[in-house]
Amino acid sequence: MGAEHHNDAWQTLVTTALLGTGRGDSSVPFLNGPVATLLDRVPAESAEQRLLTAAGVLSLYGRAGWRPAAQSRSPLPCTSEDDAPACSARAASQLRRVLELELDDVLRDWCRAAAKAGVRAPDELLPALLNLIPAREHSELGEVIAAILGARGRWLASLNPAWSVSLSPEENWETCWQTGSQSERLAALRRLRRRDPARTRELVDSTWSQEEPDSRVAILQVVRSNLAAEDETLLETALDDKRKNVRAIAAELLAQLPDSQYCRRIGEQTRPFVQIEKKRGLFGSRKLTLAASVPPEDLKLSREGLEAKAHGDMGPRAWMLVQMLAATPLAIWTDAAAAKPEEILAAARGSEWKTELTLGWMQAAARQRNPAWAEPLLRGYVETSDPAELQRLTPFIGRLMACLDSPVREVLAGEFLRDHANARLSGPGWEILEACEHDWSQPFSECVLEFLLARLSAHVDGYEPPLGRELPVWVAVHLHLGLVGATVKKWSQRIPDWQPARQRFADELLGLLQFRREYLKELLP
Amino acid sequence: MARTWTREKVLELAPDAGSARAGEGLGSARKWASLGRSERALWGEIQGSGKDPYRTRVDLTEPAFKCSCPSRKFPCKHGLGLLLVLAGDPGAVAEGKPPAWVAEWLADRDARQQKRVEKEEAVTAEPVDPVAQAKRVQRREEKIAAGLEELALWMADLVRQGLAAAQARPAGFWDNMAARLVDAQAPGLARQVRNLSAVVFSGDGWQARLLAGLGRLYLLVHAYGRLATLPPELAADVRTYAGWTRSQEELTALPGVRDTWWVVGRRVTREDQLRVQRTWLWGKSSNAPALLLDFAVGNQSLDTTYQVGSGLEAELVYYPSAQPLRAVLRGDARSLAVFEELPGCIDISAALQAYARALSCDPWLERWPMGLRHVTPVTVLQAGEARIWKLQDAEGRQVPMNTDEEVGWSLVGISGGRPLDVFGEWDGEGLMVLSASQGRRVLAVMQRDAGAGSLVRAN
Repeated sequence: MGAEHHNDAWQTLVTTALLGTGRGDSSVPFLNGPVATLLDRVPAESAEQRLLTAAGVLSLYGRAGWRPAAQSRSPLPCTSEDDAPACSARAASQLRRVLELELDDVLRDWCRAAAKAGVRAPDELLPALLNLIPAREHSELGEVIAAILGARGRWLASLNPAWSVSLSPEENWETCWQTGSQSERLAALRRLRRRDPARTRELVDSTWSQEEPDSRVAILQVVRSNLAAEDETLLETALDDKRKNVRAIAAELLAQLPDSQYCRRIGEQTRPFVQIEKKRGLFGSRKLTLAASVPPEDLKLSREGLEAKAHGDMGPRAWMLVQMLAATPLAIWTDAAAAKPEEILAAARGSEWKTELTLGWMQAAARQRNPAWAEPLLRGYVETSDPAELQRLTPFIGRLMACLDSPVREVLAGEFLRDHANARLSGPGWEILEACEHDWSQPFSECVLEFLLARLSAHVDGYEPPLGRELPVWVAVHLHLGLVGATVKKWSQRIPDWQPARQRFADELLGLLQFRREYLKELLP
Repeated sequence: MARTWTREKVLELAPDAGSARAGEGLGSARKWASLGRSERALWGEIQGSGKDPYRTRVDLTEPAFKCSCPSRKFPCKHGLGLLLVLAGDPGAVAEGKPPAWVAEWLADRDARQQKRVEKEEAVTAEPVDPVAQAKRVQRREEKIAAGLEELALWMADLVRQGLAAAQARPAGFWDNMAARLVDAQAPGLARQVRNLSAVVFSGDGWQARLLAGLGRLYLLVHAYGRLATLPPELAADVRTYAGWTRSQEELTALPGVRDTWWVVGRRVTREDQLRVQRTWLWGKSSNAPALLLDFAVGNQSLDTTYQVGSGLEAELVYYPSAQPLRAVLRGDARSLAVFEELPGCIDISAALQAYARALSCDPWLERWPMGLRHVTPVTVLQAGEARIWKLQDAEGRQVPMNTDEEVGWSLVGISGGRPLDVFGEWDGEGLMVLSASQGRRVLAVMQRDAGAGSLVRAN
């Protein structure tokens, strides 16, 4: 019986069975050949038995006889020979464990080490890595993973639309910008901005006037990355936008371009309120004096996005001063007084508005990424003991530390940790460690470990909030490797004396330290 | 030769995910107060919540575990932790002579093993009361016969009313029939009925699949009714499908097959509280497959001695069957090094032909071991977001693959668009891939706790 005859007979049988032998035609379809002979041999008294028997025999026949046809299908695309070798089997096993941990910091560390070693991810783990990229596009992790995919990984991504979107080639982005959905356009713009900021500007300019206010806000957020002087024109246009939130972002971004007209305008307005003079003091010494005042209430800078209203415990005029300082190019102060930033800051300590001055300058230094100001400002932060002050200034230390070189960061952070050794584990200190985003030197690592050990061993009165995972993970990923062995030994003796929550903290840290040492040894022997 | 332990292989032994996590927590050397190993054993002491440290011992040959902690899980987290230390940092475990508390346990094990062997021999020598046995068998046969009649009527009823109404039937409709078959001491038939109830909600084409399943079940019922007229091997198979278990005693007199056996695939499925492990072997000289079955109830651990990628020189005894597959190890097995290429892989046409031949011997065969040579995994996203997976040969012939996204994409990634060899279980509609090889790499699907799997290097 040919395949077609079998198919027809089977379909008929299924239809009969669906309706049921109780109603209508219950005869078994016409069959010939050995199948029919076989069926005849099976005794069947009722219509149901005949149907069931036929079903059994025919389905078996079909199952045994099924053969796929040879078809000329277009050959599949193959990968090219890979640029980088795959990592070792042991490293692959370690990567599998890293993925199971679900800790971005550790994965980023592994991928960076793999890139440095010149190896790519193992083939069988490519799907797991590719699945992570779309969700991590904004962070560095997506890029770091993409770097170790190799030709094989990129080939695999091209086969799955869910993955190829993240790694798409550049030609698609412009069509996407013209015709895609809102989220697709923004995603494409984000990716293009990383590779070709100039082209991004052209695209955005071409459609700005037709954009919806909400999408303008989102576009400006994209412009935030790789911000450059060339973006000034767009931002000035946005500054006059009808919508308040568009103006607000434009103002914030313009404040990050100290050479822009915007900053110059605000600087001119701010200058009268902070007078710095070099006076000849007693015995021929030169002393810097600073006289600050707050602007009057009627000073309107709403076009520039600065609102005069109360903020926290500051009045509207004080807050206005802060905002103006935050958008003023710092060069104005150092040029006017022909003095260094630390001298200006020292002089400011005597002013009644020193809180506002510090806050404003910190924000300016953070926006303008100015290391000359960052260091003395951070030193002031490190030396302060006023908790309210600490809380106010903490949001900026990340960006300020980022301007400085690693050794300087370590000096500042080290001092901070030593001065705040008695505070609780979940209190200040974490942010300053988080701002040290580099491989820590051995002395600094020792300092951090001492700090942690002191806090973990300290007696706790009352309720201690649960200790999160971020701190041990961060420390483990940045700590100097040479200290791992000694740390494990020393801490293992102390751990049994601690409370369970702290034991878990220590276990997490030690476990990760050892694992990190192992996988780095495997990748970079 | 000692087997190399990797983290994945150790975690496969864990009875559940919680134990795996707890074991990982104990998997670093610093947690252990003392550690040591010899060629055969691994041991350690670890401080627990009690006064004295727990003593954990592992016999690496099987592996077998013994720990003094009060946990009822098997293996406990300490056993897993010890093995993980060995897997992750072998240098941390010093080699030496086993201390008394380890040596005693090993000696005990040997003594018990010896006693077991003696007992087996004694059992086979000792006659069972034939009269009582015959009576039991007779009673069971009567019950089964009654159960079969009921089943036949039930199926006829279903067909008379029409399968279209099957989806509307309450769960009790199927469960009750299955329960009655269990009462009739025909658990195999009960399982078939339960499988059919799952087919009803299996998606597109369920009607045809249900009819096929019913037809095959009917043929089984019919065959059971005329057991005496069937050839003995087929009769044995039919009885097994109905639910009669096979005893090891019937094998003792049979000749075994001595060969080099490669472990080509492993799959664990769960049926309520029971876990069933199928380990597929391929004989080098005999060029034929064999199946080792292992069962575990509740927290028991399965025997994972034979890992995909490894080989053993051993004597296997096949259970008599019209299509021999299931076998049992007789005597000792000598472990061999891992292999680098999947054996027994043939082209699609030849493989399907072999399947047809197997079906002709045993029409109720559920899973057939199939190795396909030089096939490329392909995938297509159909309308409606359903993704289908297939294996394609050089002539463009495609067979469907039963797989999930992770294993499917990993296979595609490993192939790089070039052909590879694949081994899996063929159920008549699709191939469930259990291992693959390309170049000199062998990869196996490793499951965690009878759940989803991922593709892991086996060599």
